Amino acid sequence: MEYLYFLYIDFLHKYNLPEFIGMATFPLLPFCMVAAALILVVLFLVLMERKVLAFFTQRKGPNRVGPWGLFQTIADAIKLLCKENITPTGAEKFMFNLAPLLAFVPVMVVWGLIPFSSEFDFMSYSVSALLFMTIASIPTLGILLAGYASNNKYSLIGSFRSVAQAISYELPLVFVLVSIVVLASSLNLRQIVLAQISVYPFCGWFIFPAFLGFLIFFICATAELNRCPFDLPEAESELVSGYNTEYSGMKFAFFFLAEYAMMFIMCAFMATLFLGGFLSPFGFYLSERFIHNDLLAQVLVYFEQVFWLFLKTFFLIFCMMLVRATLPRLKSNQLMGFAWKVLLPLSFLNLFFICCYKYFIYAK
Amino acid sequence: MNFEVLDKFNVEIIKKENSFEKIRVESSNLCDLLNFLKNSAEFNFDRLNTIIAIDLVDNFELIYDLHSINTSQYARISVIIDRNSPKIPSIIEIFKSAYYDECEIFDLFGIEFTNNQNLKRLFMPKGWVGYPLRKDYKQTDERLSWNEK
Amino acid sequence: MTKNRLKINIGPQHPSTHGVLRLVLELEGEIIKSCEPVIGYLHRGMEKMAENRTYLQYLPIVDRIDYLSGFFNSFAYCNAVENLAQIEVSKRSQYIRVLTMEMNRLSSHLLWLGTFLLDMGATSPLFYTFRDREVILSLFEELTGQRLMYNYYTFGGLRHDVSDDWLDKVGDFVKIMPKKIQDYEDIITNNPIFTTRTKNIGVLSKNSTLQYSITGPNLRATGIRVDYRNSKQETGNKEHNSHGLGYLVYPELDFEIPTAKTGDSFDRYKVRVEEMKVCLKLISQCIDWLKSNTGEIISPIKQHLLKVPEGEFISNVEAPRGVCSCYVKSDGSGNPYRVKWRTGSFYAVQILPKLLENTFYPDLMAIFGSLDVILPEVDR
Repeated sequence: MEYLYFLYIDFLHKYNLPEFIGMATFPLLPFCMVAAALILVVLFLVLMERKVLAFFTQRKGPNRVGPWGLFQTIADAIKLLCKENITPTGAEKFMFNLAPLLAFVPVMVVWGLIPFSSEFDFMSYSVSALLFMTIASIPTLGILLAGYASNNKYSLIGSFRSVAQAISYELPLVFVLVSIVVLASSLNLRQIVLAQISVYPFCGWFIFPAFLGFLIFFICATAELNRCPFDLPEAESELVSGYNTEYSGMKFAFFFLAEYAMMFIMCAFMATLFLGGFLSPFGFYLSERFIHNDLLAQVLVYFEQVFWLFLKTFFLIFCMMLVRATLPRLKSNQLMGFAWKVLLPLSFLNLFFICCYKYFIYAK
Repeated sequence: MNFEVLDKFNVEIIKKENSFEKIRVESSNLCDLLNFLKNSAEFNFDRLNTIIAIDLVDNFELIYDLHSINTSQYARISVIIDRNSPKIPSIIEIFKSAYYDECEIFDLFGIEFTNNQNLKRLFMPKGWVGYPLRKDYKQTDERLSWNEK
Repeated sequence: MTKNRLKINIGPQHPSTHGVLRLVLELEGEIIKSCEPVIGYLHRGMEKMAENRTYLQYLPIVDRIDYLSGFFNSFAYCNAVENLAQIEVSKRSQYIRVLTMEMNRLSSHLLWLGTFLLDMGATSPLFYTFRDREVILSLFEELTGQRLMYNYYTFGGLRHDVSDDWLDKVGDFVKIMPKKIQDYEDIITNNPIFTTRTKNIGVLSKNSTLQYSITGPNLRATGIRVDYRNSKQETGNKEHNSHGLGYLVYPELDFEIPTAKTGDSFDRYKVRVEEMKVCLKLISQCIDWLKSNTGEIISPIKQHLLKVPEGEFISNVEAPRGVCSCYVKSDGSGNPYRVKWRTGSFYAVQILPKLLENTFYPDLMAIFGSLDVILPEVDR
């Protein structure tokens, strides 16, 4: 960290800027970087989703704008930016405009909580796992507000469903999180990752003791993200587009962005909890092994850790896309029944099992 | 088929060359006849295929096309109604599927089915003037003449 | 309308109404309390059009009644006119008619399968079924020059013969298709989400299907084995006016009629999938016959000068969406005096209020989709 800081100060000195500017702006830099990275990742994610779905359904997917359709999402984003912002008559104007922000801002905040590497996380608290869950549930409020404020019955039903779904699926999610916290003896996300270091490569990952928990978490995360087969709030064959039916232009883009960003973050969170986060699956870092310049290796390790995290995240996202391509949508009463009658008892079981495991084996 | 038992309904069997056999009945006896045909073990016509309305210029003819699932036979009941006061008892009590058929005929021919409470125009817009499938229908609605102006 | 009810308007423009159906629903929470279908948005006056045209001029129009199974409408009309004018149809033409109609039924069921699952939220099967349907449509395009509105049948025959080359292509398609259908069954039939969403949903009793005049696969899903193609009825009482059972050469062909038991959405799905297999069986039998037999297919009569003697006729055809009846009345002139169409979807829409009462809102798609309603056929 200090090394980066000095690099930055040197860089400013070249342009004859005083050091206090560096001191003031340095903490903001990672945030800007992280926010920019998130937007880029989302742009790529949308393209990836379309390509993967196209692959499953024997199509080509976007391939006109740029090589391999790379600029398709950028073109879409520009189109959305240029579009007219329509506020329907009869809509509650203030809340209608507030809703997309309420859905988007918390996503940007929780993004900062993910530990990208062993050094580089700029929001690290002793209770960051809990904080993550708390802030991550705020976008539901935005969805509720959007449904209520748009003065549209489809939106209203969509937002009802969304809230019911979020409440039922948050419970098993948190119980699984508790089991992980028990395993790691910490609520700090970086500590959780570091607790997964073991003598043998990847054997210490929490997915092995908590495999049941991982499955529950994956299902609940899919539900939390309103993705197929749990995409009832925006079931297009029933509700046209659900809570965002009345939104257009940039406001719609905010919802869209928040949805995909949240998907990425949820998967990164899952990778952190179960798949060893930024840890290398080989037990050593490639850059440490192959680059003999210590200083360079130290910097490259950080990047490599980010790479491992992203790789794991994208693997989980790919699984989610696979699920989307295969399964039909659940019915609302089926959905609630599944959460309360199946997942919640299973998550209790998982917690109980993990506690026993921790007490008898892990403690030795 | 043996249609002699139907004599109590005052029926007339019509068989012309190049046409199917029809059972002609007065509109007052229609419901009784259909009820009998549906429920009697001999005929057991359990499905009303469709109701066909024809404008015969002087009057209207309605043909009730009955099918039997069990015996794979059909019967066509024909009713003649006066053009000046086109009214006929509804048969939705006997065959529920007749509701849409009757609405359609009301919509396109202007034949009124008594006892059918929810008779409405099925295809044409509300407030449409005239009954399009009558032979003397003249198109007067301005909504359709937009391309002639 | 009570206080707690939410009145919601589905359509005429809505992603899942397959055209321009409008449903006025009253919801209590997510439970549908009442439903009122509003139709007529696609009314084109098919029956009125017939009265201003000659018999031949009306022929291309009838394909548009149900654009997914144009051959059936075309055949129903041709059959009625042929019976009135007493025109003989050669054996080879009949076999080609059966072949094309069964291919059309297959393509129609494939489209239904894809859109039904799309309504249920599964996106992939749509592309798979469209891929296979595309093959059929290309074959039709090669044969008739059209992909949907074929205008291939004429009074007493067909426009032109099929080539052996084309038959070979159809034969190749029939060979790969069973594997594809098996694939669909693998991905759909045992999927727990799909089965819980469709089993015991939208149950039609035997009695109510007959009361509401529901025909076709929807009727057979309740366990009643009735198919107008088949002359071998269970209690077949063959007299002079049995209703056109076993038209064309169907009595010579070997096929079974798939049925199910309970008449719920799942059974309707199952019956249609089984019917696709039957279609393949019929197609391959037709190909075998056509390859080993030759014959005249061009009708000797002058189509455009056709004068039909006075009379009336109803022809019943087993279309993919139920019985399609065409009534033609002739007054001896060159124009039909009255044409009336009876289509399966018209009655399937009528039963919706009864089926949807007290079901969950998402069941709407599972029920409405499984009935296989197509709107141009309803409004005509």
